[in-house]
Amino acid sequence: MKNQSPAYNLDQGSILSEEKEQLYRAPARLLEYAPDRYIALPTHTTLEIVEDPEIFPVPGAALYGLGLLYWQEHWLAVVDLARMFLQNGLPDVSIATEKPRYVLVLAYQRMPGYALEYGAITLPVLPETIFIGDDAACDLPTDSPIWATVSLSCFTYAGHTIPVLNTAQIFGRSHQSKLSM
Amino acid sequence: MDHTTQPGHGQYIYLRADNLRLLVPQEDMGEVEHLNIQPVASGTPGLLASPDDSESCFIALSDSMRLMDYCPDGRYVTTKLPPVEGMEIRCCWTEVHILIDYQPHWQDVPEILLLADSPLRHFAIMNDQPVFLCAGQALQNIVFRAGI
Repeated sequence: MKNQSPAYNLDQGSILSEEKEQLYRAPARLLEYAPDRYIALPTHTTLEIVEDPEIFPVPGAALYGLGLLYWQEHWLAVVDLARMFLQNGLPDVSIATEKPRYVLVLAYQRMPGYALEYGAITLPVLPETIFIGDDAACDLPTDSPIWATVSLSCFTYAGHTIPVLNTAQIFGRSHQSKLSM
Repeated sequence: MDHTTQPGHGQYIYLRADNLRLLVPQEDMGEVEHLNIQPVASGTPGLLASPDDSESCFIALSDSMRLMDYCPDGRYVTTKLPPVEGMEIRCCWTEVHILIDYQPHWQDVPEILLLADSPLRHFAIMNDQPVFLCAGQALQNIVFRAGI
């Protein structure tokens, strides 16, 4: 059935052509936030990659908070996901110590209908756009309780379990509320 | 003023210690003095002393607002902190300016960056860079927490 050309098949209820299969694959932005550690983001939340960002540290800030970035007339929080997840119980995450070469600006809404807000995450490497079907869905990783709070869903890809992050849960909550989850 | 309130228009002191940039309401800070000689380590961690006046106490802050055990080059301007347990302490800065009739446009530091005890929660923009609102008490608390 999979190899059958759609031009020769009149039964629309039972055949999945290659074209129809692709309709069920959603795009996602795949990020390696630490060596061999991956998350994904809905593509509509990813706005811009900034190269060699000028980040202004905030003294006394959380360890994962690198500081403030000026972007399109907004001052954004820049966070390091590896540090954030490590601080919330994720074991064996490798932490970068050098200045980030890239950051990715993300959009989020605290609640539906609220104004868009913006934040940024550091990017050790540039992201990749992939297409994921429902058949890739899987359970969240069990190596940290943080995934249940910050994830929309999860899928497997190339042998990895990849949570899809909710950007509002990354930026729209206080550090204290995240720790009390 | 504590770190949760924002003062409005008025007199502020702009304080810079290398890359640390603060705006302190003038009523929170004592007089400004210049030093002829930089303080040196006193033997007490976080506390500095003048080579020619062992009675005087000084501190120097890092970019992340931590007490340093030495005074970096170029910090010849000092301000007096509110007394700490009766002790007069002066803080060493790279640059000090008194801003008269300054009207800051305060913005909130994004909450995701803050801890419960983060001392700097508001900032204004000066010369295209954030400058953080800092109460004199916040500087005092740095010394308290160090147990000097």
